[in-house]
Amino acid sequence: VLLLPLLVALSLTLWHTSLAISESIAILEDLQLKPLLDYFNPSREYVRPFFYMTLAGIWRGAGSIAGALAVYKVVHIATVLLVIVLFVWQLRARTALDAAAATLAVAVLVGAPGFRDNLENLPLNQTMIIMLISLLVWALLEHEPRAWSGQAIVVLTVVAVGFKEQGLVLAMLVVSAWWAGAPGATRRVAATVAALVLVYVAVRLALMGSWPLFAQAVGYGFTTLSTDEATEYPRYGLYAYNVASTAANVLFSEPTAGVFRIVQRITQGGVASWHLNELLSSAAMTGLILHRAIVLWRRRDAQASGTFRVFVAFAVVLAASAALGFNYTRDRFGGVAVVFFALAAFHAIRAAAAAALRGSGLRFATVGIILLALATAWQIRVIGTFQYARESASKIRTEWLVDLPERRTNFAQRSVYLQIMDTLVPQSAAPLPWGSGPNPRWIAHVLGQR
Amino acid sequence: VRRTRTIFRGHRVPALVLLITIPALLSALVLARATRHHVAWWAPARPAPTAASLLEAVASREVAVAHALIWEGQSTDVRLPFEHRSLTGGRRVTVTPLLLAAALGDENMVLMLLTYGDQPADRLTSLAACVAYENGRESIGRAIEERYPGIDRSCPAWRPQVPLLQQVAP
Repeated sequence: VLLLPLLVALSLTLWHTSLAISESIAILEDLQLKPLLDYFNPSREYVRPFFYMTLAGIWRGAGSIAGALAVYKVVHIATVLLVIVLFVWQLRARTALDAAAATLAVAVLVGAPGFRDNLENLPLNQTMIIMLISLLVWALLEHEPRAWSGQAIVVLTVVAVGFKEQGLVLAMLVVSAWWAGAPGATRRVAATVAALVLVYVAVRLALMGSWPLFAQAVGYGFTTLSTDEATEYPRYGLYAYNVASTAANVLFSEPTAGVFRIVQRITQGGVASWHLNELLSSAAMTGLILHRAIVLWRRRDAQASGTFRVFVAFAVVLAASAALGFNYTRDRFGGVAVVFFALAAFHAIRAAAAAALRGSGLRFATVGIILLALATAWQIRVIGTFQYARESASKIRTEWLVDLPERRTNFAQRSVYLQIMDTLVPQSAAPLPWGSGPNPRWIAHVLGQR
Repeated sequence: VRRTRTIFRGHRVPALVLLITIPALLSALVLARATRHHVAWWAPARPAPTAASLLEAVASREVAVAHALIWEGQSTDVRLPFEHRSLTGGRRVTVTPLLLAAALGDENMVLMLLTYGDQPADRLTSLAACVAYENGRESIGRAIEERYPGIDRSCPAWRPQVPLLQQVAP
């Protein structure tokens, strides 16, 4: 019941959010003009054949441009909702305390930057799809093996990699689950997935074209370096910085895209309450998870414990996600890690609550207040995510209002581009149902501003 | 005391459940309210737009708000009197959304108004181009000239200045 308003609010907001004029139309134009096989070329900088096949399948099956655009939205919204619902199902809450811990764990998932950043409809969102697949794979790994579950894990991993190479983290997840003794992670499944991924990586490296040193702008300290400026810095030092930044964003909500915006505000002035809320609530949850992981690690039967495997999975997925963002970092790269961060948070919260029940009155009161503070902080972040989604919709709409004439002129020779763009104009320029006025200052102070 | 402690200990689970779920309940109420009213959840009612609303939106550089007003049927040919003897030579001129946006150098607003607006190609449109060129915003001036070919871009001696145009905004 508590989840329903969130699901409805997110669904409606995403339904009213148009596709961005800056990138989406070019993707759809490519679908029309390029042969599908081109997307399987392993020498491309970005290899995402299943993503483009899905887009193309919907495009051709829908019958009209407007129909295809509507289906893209429905699929994207369904993906987001399924991630949340599957996450809750994965928690298997049986008691009232479990259910309470689950509300906080959902808030950790939805309030995290890695989830927020993947609400963008590109059309569809590859990382959100991988987040969904990671939950399915995890469910299979944690279940007793069935006749088909091994093949399903392999196929799902391949599909995830085919959507975006961020899906490679699933291979690490499967192997680590086998190492930690997950019932569904048989040696055969782990070996198959590892072999497939090794072959894939070898082919990619062997056929690698001349890629730029840095594919996109790189955040560094308090500033953002252009791709040209980034080449003036030690290459591997900047790669290490990006890797650390992706991991830190999941753990502390800072830095964002490599830029320490909260630290900058704290040290240079202009800090708002949402800065502190994001930093402190993330740090506190990370501390709680770390504490629980250490407790489990010290137990003799730790490796046989299903709970411990969640912590192992989180550590491995976090490391893999961070490593894949070596070239540049964005919040969305932490999407899959955020799912396991929230799963680990659930177990850590539940354990803290259970310990409080057994402890003295003082301990109970202290833990209770800490959990209340954590729940409040993360629920504010959930509203922040909702607000972020609305502001994203407004921003995209403003871009449509402002950039349309220029794009009509610049792309006058590209008839397919113009056709798609003109189809999108009525819904993209229509006023948003929740209005377009500026936010009151206190809203920006508490929830942040895009 | 022992009895109180026993009762308290017996209610630890519900107490802890409440402590964790109360923020979730409040968050759910906020989201439900936002969805139900379909408006900014901190402001359930919006005032009806007036003729001056568009100029106000332009003055505050809210492109989306200005566009929403146009979409709702607000004409962009809104004119408010503007007079300053030392600058206008005693003339009483009017300010329009396009002129105000050009004077503010708000290129996004100008582009939106040029796409969705209905301002006639009159002397105030010429004045908007003139003010843009005067302020060194050639791209704005060119955009206006492209939309209204043949307008007179030369500036009258009494052209209004930017700070005063800002003051005229409602």
